[in-house]
Amino acid sequence: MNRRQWLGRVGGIAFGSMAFTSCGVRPEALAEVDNVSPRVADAYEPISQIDCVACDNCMPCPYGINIPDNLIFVDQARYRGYLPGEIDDPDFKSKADIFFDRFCNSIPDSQQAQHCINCGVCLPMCPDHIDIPRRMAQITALTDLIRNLRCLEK
Amino acid sequence: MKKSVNSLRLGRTLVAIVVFSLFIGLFADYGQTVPTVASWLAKVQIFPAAMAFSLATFVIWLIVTLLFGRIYCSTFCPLGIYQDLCSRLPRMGRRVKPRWHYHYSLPHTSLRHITLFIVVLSIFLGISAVTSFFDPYSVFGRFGLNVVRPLWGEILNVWYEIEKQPQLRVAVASGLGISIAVVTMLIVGFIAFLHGRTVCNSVCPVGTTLSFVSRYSIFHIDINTDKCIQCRKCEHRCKSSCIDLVSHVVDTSRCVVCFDCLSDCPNDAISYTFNRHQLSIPLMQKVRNPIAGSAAGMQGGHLETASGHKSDKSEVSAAAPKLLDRRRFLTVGAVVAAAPMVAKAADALASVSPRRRSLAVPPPGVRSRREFLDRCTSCGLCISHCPQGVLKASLEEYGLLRALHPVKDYDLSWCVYDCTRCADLCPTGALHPLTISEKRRNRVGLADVDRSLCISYNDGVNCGACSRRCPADAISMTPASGSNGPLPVVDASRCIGCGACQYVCPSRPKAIVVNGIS
Repeated sequence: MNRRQWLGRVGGIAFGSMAFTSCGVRPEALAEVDNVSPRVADAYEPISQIDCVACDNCMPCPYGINIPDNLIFVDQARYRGYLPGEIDDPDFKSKADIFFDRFCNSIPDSQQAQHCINCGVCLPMCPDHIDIPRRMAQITALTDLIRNLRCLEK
Repeated sequence: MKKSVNSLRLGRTLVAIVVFSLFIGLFADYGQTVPTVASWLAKVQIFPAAMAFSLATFVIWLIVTLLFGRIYCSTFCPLGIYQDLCSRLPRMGRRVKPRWHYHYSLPHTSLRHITLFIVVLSIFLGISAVTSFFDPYSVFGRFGLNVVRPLWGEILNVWYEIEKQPQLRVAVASGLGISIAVVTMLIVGFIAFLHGRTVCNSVCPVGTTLSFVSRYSIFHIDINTDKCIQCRKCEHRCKSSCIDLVSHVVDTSRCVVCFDCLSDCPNDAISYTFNRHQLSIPLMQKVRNPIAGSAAGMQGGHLETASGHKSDKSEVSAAAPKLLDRRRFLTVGAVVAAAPMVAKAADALASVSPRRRSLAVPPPGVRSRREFLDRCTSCGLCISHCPQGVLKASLEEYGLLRALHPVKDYDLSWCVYDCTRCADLCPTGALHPLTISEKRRNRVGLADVDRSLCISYNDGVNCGACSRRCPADAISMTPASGSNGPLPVVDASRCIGCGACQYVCPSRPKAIVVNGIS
């Protein structure tokens, strides 16, 4: 643990996570990004606009994913302002918390994007030509990153 | 003087309330703050420290007990505080009905010693069914995990429903866990309801261990015989039943230093001090072991005065010691003779588990499987704090005698690569604390591919879900002869058995399964 992380952690425990932000120290959760395993951290990229209209043509997914729900959830999260952007954003952590809680609450485990196996069955079905497997991979990378971050903060 | 006496009792009560609420929070809180603050409380518990062979904690508690008496039992033991709460229920208010008065009783010395012997033996033999059953902290922990935590979660969820906030995920505990926790807590609570701290003073191995030291404690409850007016208020108030007003001796081996008697004495005859006032009866001070030998005389004298019945004192004391000695000798002898056989039978029973294709996967931080199984006292702290909900209480995965140990169920979830929470929290040394880089190398299992179930092999789908999900980069999709598509191959040097592959595997039954390693 380097000095900055230590300060962040001490600040987080003692005075709440915002205590040292004004002293030029990043909030503790962002300092922890350095600790996330590279495979998880590098897989993440900010998700761009998807524009799914929930026509349900892609359904049923052979692996049980509720594709429209996943895609629409992300678009709505952006619309309502809690879709996490770049990791370096100061409000990444707070947005990520809201995003993750609502994502897990609104979509059952077995229907989440993480079960996509990249089979491509849905690709020709989509009238908007959305690259569904890539989007699924993006959503999975985001949720995985948030999971790891949450486990790191103590 | 009255004031200082009351402040001792008040202090004890306050500390006990704070510790008890922290313990409830430690098991039931869904956030991070209380567990972070309170996790040290689990680590200073005596029984887990003994399981972890953590000499420092153990010795410090012994020294504290030698100085101040068994304050551990009245302030730091969660089950002790729980018993205080239960025993307080019928005795609220200023005037307690005579029906609920406590009375002095002789210690159940042989029962205590036999229990302690059995527990120490099973610590060394690793019979965790016995150790987890007798550890007061674990008894409370199982209650916290199986009853308090789900209840609190549901209450919070009702609140969040009103507030329109995301719902918590309340893991439903196992039926076995709930029933064991509820039954033990009901029994302990009921005995406390009737007889105060009887469990602590006749069954609890921690209480017995501390009693060896506390009988010589420097600060102790002391009765000034010059001031005592024999009103028996203190005896009726003593939940440990350890105040003998005939000889004016407080049995410090059983006294849990609750200070209840101090505030009740109308004449300030009782004080918490290092002086020994009752030296005016020097004979009584020589008695080290009140049960055997000369103690029978004490018993006879006590009965005589208490009941007013004139029995022949010399006759009792002549007949009793021999009888007691023989009986005790026979019981202890029988237990000592039977213990190895029981231990062996228990060991054999533990290894009889239903035939399984694989070994169950333990939480991370396990140095050796045997050590984990022997040391874990199934307190459930790791299970209650697993952020992924992958840990659950085992039923027969490790053998029936090791029920309620934490086991990973990769069909429910998987173990996050960067998470070390369970290992950091474990107080017993069953799981050793890990740094993040250690966790990434800590192998608890090994993934095994059954190609006949894999959809790439059967349907020719280019799946690769396990390979993409593996955080350790241990699975590669490789073309294989006779297969319709590329097959996952596990690099055994990299796989740590986190179970992400098993969780995402789309085929049912799972084509890739993580097995524990022995």
